Amino acid sequence: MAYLIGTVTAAAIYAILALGYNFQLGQAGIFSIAHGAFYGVGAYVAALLCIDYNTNFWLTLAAGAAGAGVVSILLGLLGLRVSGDYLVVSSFAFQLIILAVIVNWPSVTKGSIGVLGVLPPVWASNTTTFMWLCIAAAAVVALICASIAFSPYGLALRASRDDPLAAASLGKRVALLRLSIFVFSSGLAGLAGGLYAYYQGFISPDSFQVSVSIIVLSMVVLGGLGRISGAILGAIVLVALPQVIGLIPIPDTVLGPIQQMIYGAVLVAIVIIRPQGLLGSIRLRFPGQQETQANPELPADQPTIEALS
Amino acid sequence: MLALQLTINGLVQGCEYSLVALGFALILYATGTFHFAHGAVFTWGTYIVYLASVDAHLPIVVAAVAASIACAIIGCLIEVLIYRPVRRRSGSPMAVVVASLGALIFLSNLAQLIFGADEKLVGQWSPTHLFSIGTVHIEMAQLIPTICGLGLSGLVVVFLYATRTGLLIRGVSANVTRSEILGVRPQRIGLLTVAIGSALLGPAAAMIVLDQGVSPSAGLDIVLVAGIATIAGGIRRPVASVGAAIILAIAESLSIWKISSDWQEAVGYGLLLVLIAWRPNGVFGVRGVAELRGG
Repeated sequence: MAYLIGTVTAAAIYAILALGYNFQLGQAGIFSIAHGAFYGVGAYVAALLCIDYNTNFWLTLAAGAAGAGVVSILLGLLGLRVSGDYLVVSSFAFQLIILAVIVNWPSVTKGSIGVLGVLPPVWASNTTTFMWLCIAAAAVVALICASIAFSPYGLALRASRDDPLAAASLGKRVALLRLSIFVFSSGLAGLAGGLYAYYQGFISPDSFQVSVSIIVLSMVVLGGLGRISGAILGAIVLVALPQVIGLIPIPDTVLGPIQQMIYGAVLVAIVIIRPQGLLGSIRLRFPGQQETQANPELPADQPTIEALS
Repeated sequence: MLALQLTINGLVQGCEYSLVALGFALILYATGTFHFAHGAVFTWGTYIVYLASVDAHLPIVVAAVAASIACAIIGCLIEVLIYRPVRRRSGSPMAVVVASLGALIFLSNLAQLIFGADEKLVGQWSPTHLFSIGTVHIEMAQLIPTICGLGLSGLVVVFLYATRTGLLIRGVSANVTRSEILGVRPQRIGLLTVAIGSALLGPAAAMIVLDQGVSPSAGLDIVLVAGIATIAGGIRRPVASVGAAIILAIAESLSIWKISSDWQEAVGYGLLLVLIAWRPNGVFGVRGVAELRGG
């Protein structure tokens, strides 16, 4: 039972991560892979406030989200200048810088040892209660995402994704739209980080490696880009799948790599078999690029009509 | 004097990295793919070097050649079995990047599963002391990687700019459609470039294995360095990535001089972010990725 509660809690935390990332990648088309870094910033802000300053539980979660949002402005500003592959490489580098700061600033972050003894308040110290708290948080986040997606703001966001020039000429502030949604999505990652810190009771830099960002990417790509239900489904499947494998008695040294291989294989398989994801309808593409119809008769690197003109 | 020694150390390391960067840049140049799985191919190259030199007691040069061949095969398999179906299915560069990240994670962890997570050391270069300028020491172990890195890069330059096949690669990169009209098969040229770019990983793996040992997680860091060097060099000029890799490594090495060595990597990556913010099309860059893809 404890096993199941742990899995559901982890799935709910990852669902918050995936919902935020889904917004950023699916609705706004910002392809940065540093979600794990903002997750880490949120976890550290919440944990350190809890341990060193004994701050109120809700305040630490809010501060974690706010901290992650503020840090993400740095990368967000860069993301306004570059996009596509450049942003992928830059965001990777950004995440490694954040990790280096966490490891090499022991006076504040306690370095590679990590932060121990992050305990939730007494009323939430029961694992079942905490699981429901995480599920509730994920549900609220999903509702907020849904209401934003169908608001005028969400429509403007999608317009700026599909055709930035047209959106700008209609008076939409494309840069502000993109930056704001990036900060919002990173703030959600910070919230998830805070919950994770309380759930684990212990955090260290190892929990926020680049692989976390790639797991979140796998969840969103698997579930379907731009779909709220897809992000939740992706999180559930990819948290549950390795747990199911974990039931088979194999040593931990083997289990870790196998889990990672599953995430890698899911990414490759999905883009080949079903590029729009399980529940999605839109395909992966960089902002501003027109959707090209795949035509099996043409050679793979045949350019589109637009390219010829 | 310390600064000079650090510069030389950086230069040596840069020459080791430059071959990885050059391969990455060439593949991007010819196929338009940000080949993140290049890092995983590198990881496999290092294990081939390890197996050949430690387990099979082969000379390091033979191990490097074996790794070259193996890397070329792995690289081509990734291109044919993963990238081509993805391009056919979705036709979007973003899908290819996602597949590439998937392949990076999958292959790196497969290596960890087979060879274990621990770092393994291989017999170091014997530090044959060559000569000293003041207190700056030059060793055989520093001279060989430098000559090897610059020499192989030079060969690639000659190949790219002085042979007919090189001309075809440049043609495909400049305009796929026109090349095709003239009877060139872009897919074949792309595959050839992937083979060459991946083969460059063999000697790079041998040098880095002797320098730093073998670890299954080395792939991500090295492909980041390669990506950084490629962007800094400007993606229209694959050869410039060699210079960019060397400058990056020297900057990282010099950072030890004033800052603690713990921050070495962060300094390198920070440099990239500043660079990209300042010049989004690369320092020497002419055109962006979008134009390279003709989109």
